[in-house]
Amino acid sequence: MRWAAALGAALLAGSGCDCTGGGGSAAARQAVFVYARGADAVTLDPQKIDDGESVLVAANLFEGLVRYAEEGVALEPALATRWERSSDGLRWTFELRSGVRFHDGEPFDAEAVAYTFRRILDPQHPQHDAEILNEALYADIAAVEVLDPHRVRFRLRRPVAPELFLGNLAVYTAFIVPPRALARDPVGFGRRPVGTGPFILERWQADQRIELRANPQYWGGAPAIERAVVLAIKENSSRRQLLESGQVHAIDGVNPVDVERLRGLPGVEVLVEPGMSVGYLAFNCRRPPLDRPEVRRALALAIDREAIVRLNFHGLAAPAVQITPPSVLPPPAGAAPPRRDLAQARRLLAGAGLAPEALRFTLWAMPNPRPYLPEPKKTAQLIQDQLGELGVRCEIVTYPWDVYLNKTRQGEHDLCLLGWTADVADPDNFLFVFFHSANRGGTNFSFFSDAALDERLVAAQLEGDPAARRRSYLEIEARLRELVPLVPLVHPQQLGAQRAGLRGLRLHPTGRKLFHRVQFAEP
Amino acid sequence: MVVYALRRLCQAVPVLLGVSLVVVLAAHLVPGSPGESFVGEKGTPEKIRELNEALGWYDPLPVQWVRYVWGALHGDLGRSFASRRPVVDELGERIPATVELALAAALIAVPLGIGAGVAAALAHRFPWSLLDHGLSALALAGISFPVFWLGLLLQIYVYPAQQRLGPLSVLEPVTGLYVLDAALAGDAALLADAALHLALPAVALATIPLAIIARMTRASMREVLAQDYIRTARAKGLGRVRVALRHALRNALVPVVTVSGVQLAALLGGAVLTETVFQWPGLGTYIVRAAQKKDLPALQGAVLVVAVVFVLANLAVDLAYAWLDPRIRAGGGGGPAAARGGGGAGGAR
Amino acid sequence: MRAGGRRLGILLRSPQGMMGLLLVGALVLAAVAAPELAPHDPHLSRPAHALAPPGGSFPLGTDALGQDIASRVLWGARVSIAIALGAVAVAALVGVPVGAVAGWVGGWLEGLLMRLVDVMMALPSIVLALTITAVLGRGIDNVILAVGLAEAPRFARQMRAAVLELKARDFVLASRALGAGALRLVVLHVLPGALPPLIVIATLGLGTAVLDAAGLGFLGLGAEPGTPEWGTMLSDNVDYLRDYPWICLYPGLAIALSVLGFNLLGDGVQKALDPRQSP
Repeated sequence: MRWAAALGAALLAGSGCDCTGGGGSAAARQAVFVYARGADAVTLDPQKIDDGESVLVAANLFEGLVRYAEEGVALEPALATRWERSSDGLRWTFELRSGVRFHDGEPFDAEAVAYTFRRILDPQHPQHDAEILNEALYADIAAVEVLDPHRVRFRLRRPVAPELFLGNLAVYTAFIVPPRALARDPVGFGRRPVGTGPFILERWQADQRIELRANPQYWGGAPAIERAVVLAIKENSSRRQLLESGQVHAIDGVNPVDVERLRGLPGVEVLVEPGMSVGYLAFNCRRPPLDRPEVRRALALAIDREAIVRLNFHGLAAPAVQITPPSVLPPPAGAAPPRRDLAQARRLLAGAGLAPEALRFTLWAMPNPRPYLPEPKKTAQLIQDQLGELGVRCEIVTYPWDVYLNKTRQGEHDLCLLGWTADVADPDNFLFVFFHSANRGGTNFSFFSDAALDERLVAAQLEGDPAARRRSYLEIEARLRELVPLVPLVHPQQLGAQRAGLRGLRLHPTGRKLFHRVQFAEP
Repeated sequence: MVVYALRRLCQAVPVLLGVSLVVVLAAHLVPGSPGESFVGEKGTPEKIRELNEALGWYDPLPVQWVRYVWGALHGDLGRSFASRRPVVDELGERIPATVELALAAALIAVPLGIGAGVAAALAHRFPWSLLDHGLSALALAGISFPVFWLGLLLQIYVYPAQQRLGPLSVLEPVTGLYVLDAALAGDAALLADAALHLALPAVALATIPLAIIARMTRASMREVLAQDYIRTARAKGLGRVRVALRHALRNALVPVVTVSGVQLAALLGGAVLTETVFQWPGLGTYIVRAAQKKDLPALQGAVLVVAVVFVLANLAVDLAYAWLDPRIRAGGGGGPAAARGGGGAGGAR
Repeated sequence: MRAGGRRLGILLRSPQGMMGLLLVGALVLAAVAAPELAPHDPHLSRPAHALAPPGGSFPLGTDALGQDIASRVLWGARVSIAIALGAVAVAALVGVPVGAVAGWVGGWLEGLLMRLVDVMMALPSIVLALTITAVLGRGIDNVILAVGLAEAPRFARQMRAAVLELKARDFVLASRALGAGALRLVVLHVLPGALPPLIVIATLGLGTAVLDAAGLGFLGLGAEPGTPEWGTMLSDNVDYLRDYPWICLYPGLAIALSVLGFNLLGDGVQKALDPRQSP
């Protein structure tokens, strides 16, 4: 309840600053955009971010050299205006936007770019520490050279595919930070971030709200709204009530079950957009009999994705045709999710000399909801029932989240539920991450290892021709349908809601919500 | 008296050291580590190890504990795994919210509890005894109601009224207590708003202490009323109510005061649940979040603060008792607060 | 035997004791007969009937997964009783020996043990319990352990006080002088004398255990999600409680009535065991 009092203060903080003196006039209040989500940001130091709530705010404060277009996952210039790849693919030269300043006045230049990447990559860098995440995305960068204040050159170790290299630069980890501000207060920077983006952080009241002010100097034009307030309100029903009563203009974390009801409300619009995530069931390929592809195929044939979509997501998810979400890698035309086929599953098991009734597995389910599987326990129960119809018995196992990850990383499971929300809109961010043998014990929860596939995954990283690269990922997907190290279950939709008449807020496939174009309809 | 106070204070030190040791030990009893929760499904074993090393997770436990105590003595409770901010800063932001809630609850529980207890004690003869029975039943219900359930019911059935509250005005935190800040700012509308938002959680939190204080007051009052000097006063022709309020209440309140003290400390326990229901950004929600995320430094720090408050409150109660009843000072050991335990449902008996 | 009968009589004649017995009896009945009484399988989810209001084939409605609340509340009685009995057993098994040893042996051991008790009592029981389940993880076993340990200090304090009191009595001094073993003395002479207050503490402890276990469940730190435990039923449906009040109403009522039952019974038992002390 205290947030409601905070909210009142937040709204008027907005109107108080438009210098009309009285404050609280209807027009003034319209300039404040209020967004509510389920939890507070953790840190706004881009290089240390690893949760969606932090990304949501940071993406409005910071920018990278490149960014995703408003629609789809194509890349476009941001802080870099143009770039050039050398013919051997080992040198990338970026021309930087001139006249851009950080919110504190520090100029944005090639030094800032070099500083940002050295901080990520160099363990000896004074502002590098263990909390910097996602270094692996930039491991191919050998050096970042300042050519002049507005040109910077990246030297690569391998000729990485252009869209993969540029895609990594669009990730929040590669948001450019100001060297002086960061060196002044490396620990405090995460609470008092300074970027180049369309909004400036004004106030952060922990676990309650973050207030942003429009950056009038923004190179892309000042935002239409004067202020954005991002509230942390844990319970979905509270967020929904605030939206209904108009105290909040947009929310996320809408429950699939509530969509129907929200659609019926006057003045409320539901936002549904595809995302970049997958919820899956991994087989531990090191444990017999799961080391045999025909056994894994048989079990996969018993899974009914449609039932999971219907019962866990109320239809607001796509049953997975392949591992990579269609927003990142469109499947071949006419491809449909594999059909459930118990008879075929029995034949496969019989061929392997196994009676389904003799099979017993542990089925691990996360203790807490994750964006890609909001009701893991229930999904596990559905899968338990579905395998049960084949005659295979599963015991559902669950542990606290950190213990769960620890134990599954050590391969203690037979079957485990997990998933992934990609940072980069690239198939590599799914297929290499899940299946390269080097990632066993990390992100390869199937403990899958196949030398031929490893080779193809690495080759695809280096394929310079985008069309050929897409083809090779589709071939890898086809091969994985035979090997089935894991069963992709669903690609959930992103769900949000806003007041009718609000314009310019979009749910981007990457999960970003940019406030730059947000505006209220003319009364 | 001073010696007694000092001795009791010294006894509190090992208790607090023990609490910190238990928390450090406990976190290492099971598999899993802060690094795991830090990186989630995206981590590599190397990254997890690097993070854990940076957090000092692999150091020998005694080293971790000594480092912790040494830091605590210097006002450093480490950094939260979840937010990576100093725990001291986070606690500083949250304690005022809990203090505000606890004060409000105490302001409801103590006067109403004593009032109800006195009324029940006096309502002795039929038909007033119905009042006594009614109040006693209510009090018993009060100590049996789960506080989070009460909070939810209040939200479901009283919440819609809160929804209509519009935006008010801007307020810079001075004391951190919203109601007090609003009053200091002289903003009547905001004061009303803040008070209204405080009301529901305070009522929910006040229930159990109110019931316990009422039961204690009634029992204590009955006992005093049966004593000789009260009968003498009555024999002199003084009115029953007058005697009760003038002569009996003061003496009857002695045990009530101590129970109230214990209850105020117990409010912290209730606050954990109440704050969660009402999303009150205080110490209680902080503890719960730290526990859910296994955010060890945050949990340690918060638990230590709770322990300090609890120990100090019990100490104050014991000192008050010793002051009222000098025999205890000679007796050593635990006072009434200690004997009465955490002051749960059994506190009133 | 006759004393026992008289005490039962006192218990039954006091309105509190009677009410308490009735409520606790109903709880035990629900727990024992849950399979027969429950209209549905408590775990069966019917998404088509999710969030159905009370009435028809779901007398108390359904939750977000379409599970029948009436059936889950009934089965929840079983879980709650199991947790309460388990926790009080843990509390007694830990607390009584600790208190007995501290009281009987005395000296530095007593100091050490009672400081340990102080440490545990320096935290409200729910905070102590949630710290324990945060570390050990969710699950009924861990809840029993956590709630039990949080209650153990009361048993230890009471037992120690009883031992100290009885140790000074003549017959105990005499038996000691005659060379009776310490364990034998404590079990044969001290324990029976200490029993009545321990029984009162245990009865009230059952109520506290139900309350604390439900609180842990509500915080998402109790039984495994999906368990028909009253507090967990609330946390499993936390997004729906405010819009579909029946999900919150009935499990909460079950908690309140059970705790009330144990508290009334505790009051009654106290009066029956110690008739002098009546308010």
